Amino acid sequence: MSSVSYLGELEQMVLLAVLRLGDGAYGMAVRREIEERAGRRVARGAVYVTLDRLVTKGYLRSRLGDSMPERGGRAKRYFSPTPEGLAALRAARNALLGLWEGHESRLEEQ
Amino acid sequence: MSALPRLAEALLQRCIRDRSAREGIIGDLREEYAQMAATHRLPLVWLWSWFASIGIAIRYRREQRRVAAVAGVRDLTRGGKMERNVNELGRAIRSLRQQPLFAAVVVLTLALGIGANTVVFTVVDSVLLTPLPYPQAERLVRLYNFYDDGSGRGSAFVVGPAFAAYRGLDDVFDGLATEFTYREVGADLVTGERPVRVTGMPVSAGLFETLGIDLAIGREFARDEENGARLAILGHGLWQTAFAADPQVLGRAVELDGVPYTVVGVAPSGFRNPLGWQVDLWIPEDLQSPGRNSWENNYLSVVGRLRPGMTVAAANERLDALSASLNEQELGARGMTARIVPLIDDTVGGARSMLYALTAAVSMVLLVACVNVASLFLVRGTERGHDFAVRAALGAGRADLLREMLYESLLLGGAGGVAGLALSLAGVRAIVGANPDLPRLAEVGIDVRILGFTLVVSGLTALLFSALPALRLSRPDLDSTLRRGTRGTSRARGQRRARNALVVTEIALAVMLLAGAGLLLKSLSALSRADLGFRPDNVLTFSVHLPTLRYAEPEQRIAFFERWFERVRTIPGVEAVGATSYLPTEGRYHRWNFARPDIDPDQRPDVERDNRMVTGDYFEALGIDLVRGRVFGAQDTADGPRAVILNRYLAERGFPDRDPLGAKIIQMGREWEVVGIVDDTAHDARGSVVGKIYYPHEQFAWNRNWELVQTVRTGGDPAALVGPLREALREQDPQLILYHVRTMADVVGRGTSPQRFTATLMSLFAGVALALAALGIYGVLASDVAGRARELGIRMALGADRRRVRALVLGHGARLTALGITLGAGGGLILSRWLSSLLFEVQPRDPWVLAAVALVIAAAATLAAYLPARRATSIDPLRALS
Repeated sequence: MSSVSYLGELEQMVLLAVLRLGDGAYGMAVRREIEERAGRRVARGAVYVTLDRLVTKGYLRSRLGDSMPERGGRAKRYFSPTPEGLAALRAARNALLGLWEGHESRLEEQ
Repeated sequence: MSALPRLAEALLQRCIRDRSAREGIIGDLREEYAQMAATHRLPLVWLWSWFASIGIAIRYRREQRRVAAVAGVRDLTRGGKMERNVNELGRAIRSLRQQPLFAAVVVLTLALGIGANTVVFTVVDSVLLTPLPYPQAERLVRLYNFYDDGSGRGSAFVVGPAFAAYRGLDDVFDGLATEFTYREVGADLVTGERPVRVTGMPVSAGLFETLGIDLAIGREFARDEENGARLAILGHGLWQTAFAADPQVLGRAVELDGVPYTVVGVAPSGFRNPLGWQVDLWIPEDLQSPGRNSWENNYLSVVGRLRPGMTVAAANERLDALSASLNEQELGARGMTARIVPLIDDTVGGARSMLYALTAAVSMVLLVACVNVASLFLVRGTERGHDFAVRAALGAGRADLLREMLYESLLLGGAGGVAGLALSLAGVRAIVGANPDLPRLAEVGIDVRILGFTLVVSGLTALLFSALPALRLSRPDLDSTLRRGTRGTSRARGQRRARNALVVTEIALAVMLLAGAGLLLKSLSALSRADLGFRPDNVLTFSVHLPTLRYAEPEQRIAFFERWFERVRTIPGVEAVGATSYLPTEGRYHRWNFARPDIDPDQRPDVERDNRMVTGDYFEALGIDLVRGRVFGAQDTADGPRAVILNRYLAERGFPDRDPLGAKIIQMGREWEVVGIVDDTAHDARGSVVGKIYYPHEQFAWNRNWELVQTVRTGGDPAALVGPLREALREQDPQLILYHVRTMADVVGRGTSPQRFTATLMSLFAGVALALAALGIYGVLASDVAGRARELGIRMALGADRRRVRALVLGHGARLTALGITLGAGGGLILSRWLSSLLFEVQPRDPWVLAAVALVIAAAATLAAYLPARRATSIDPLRALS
């Protein structure tokens, strides 16, 4: 995938959550992080599909941890951002900041 | 802890292609499942896990299709069976989301139907279907004595000597035991400083063994202790509250009314007394004293366990043979036989027909709900016909379209089921709270079986309401639908006819339900107007027991009540105070016969009668009118001339040959003079009357320590008297307690509570059906008007009168309603005879009720038809034609 493709809103949120979670970034944790930080409930399926999409795009890397008894013998799938992912986030941020320029005072809550 | 449902995992396995993604997601779900399971109820967690799994599967399928579409590949839309199902489920969810109002109306309608059914099934299940709480309860029977000598006595309690004989039938019974349920036996139990009032029950040996119940500790009574021995088996509750569950209680003496009883056993927790009421303790019955156990004294309630393989019919045959030989021996058996009935039938009694009626009614409500939803689906189908036709034209198979519709129905049915379950939880709580005097009410509750029932009902409902519309839609008539030539085609006509038929069905069902409710309500109102012979308003009743130890002499008890009445009369608001051995409307009691000294004993008229002790101003307090003579007064002292008062019934039938006033009767070997005649009072809530003989308590106090029920008439709220009365009692004797406090209105109301319960539920169901039927009429007419907008517009453009147009629509509604009422009335006439056993002074085919029902339906239908009719006349011809 080329780095031209822009990040969707949910993609950005997921990437940022992964970034923030560091070593503990796996599906359930990412969903929780978005819910707590952004105050937005996102469907499980949407989070997983987005994570997969970001892996496909090369913005995220995933690896399986050890199998765990409290997960019925299943492993956690951890995610971490790739340099491309970080670049895409940076680009998205810059684009938005540029667009935000000068609007803060107008949108400030009365 | 059980894990994520396998099928749900299998679904994810199929839908998520990437192995490591699968691993992570299933792991996440398992982890979350374990966390949920720790804090939530399992069915809920189970439901959640399915929602989560299906949600994820749907997202993955959609994503796969999106990716395929972007890549220009087409093949993925079909895929395997499971994936296709996931596709259609996803589409069904989206399509319902687009029409939230439709979905909400459908879910609400179904929730009402399913919820009402779950409530009624819960009650039916607990009362009728669940076995009694004893091992092999199907072998338990209740035994009655039976008199077929034309005396009208019929079924009766069992006499002592007969019980002893039945006990010998080892080949019939594995166990036979008695309980004394003729009246409640109360006693003051002294454990700490203050006595507590407990209820006890005299029982025979072998009661617990017969029931198949092991005592928690200790033993039950032995046969040689069936002589009123001073022993006691404690109920589990009493053992815990009064004895702190002390296992050392065995062998200890507890004082009941000041008499020591030795504890020999403790019943297990949760034990339910099979006959009569729940009690705090059991004491040995006296089956040996000859007076109590004569062939004349029917007083025992008998429960037995049949031997394995023994049938009720075969057992009754053996009992017949035994009865015949008892009668031949001329011991005094008076032509008595014995009859057994399964214990469950005896327990449930008259509630069975009531619950069947409610089940029938509630099924009709569900049917109405289904019909309504089917009708909604048909309307929606008209709108979606185009969409389906396009997809069929593009190659979607019939099975695909059918499956999608099936998923929609199942989703709606499922949502309706969940909402209905929530409604039913509240409903069941409300019913138990209303305490409608239903047998086994304490056992009523929602369990796994009920959940299963709701699941099945929801599924069936979904299939039922969606079958017709689905079959119609899945075979789209491509040509006409795509050309939007819906109007006037044979297909559209057929659809209209189907909807008309559905509405007629709804109205017919609503008519039947309303007729049932109407009959029950009329019957209830007849009950509430039944002439009871006294004025129950503004009367408070309660009991005060005088412990025999401290009030051993009759004079002490008479003096107590004299002082007590004097004191109560000084309480502000009290108009009259008295007491009786047994209240009216609570049943028959003390049926001793009497003799007339002035006629030959063989010629004495055999009049059904009860005997009552009264004292104070009893007749005035209850508002029983004096017909002739006088009521009891100060002259009727213990050693004054003995006096009785008769009710009108006995005065007329017992003394057809002379004026009863001044006549003499013989009772308890003594002679009494009739000094007054009072009005008849009913012994049940239906106003049934038998003869009554009233004795002044003062002249009967020698006979026993009477447990008199106090009656106080007040000018205001009877409940306000409770405080001052307790205060007064404390002043007079601080050890006594005032208990069993009820207003007389409650006492009477208790007698009609099953009827009120049935009538209330039936009315509720009928109301729901009526509302749904009205909604149905509205729906049909509204969509009809919308479909005919063009035609109506042309009519108006050509100068049709507004009134005529309105009449056109209203006429359509009226035709449907008339047909529905006719069919419903016919059905009602057929079904109503099943209600006859629940009716009082109302004929099952009461024409007034049917007329009223027709009127109500017609009014509701007119209201429902009015809105579409108005819309029809407000059609703008220009817009309709453009």
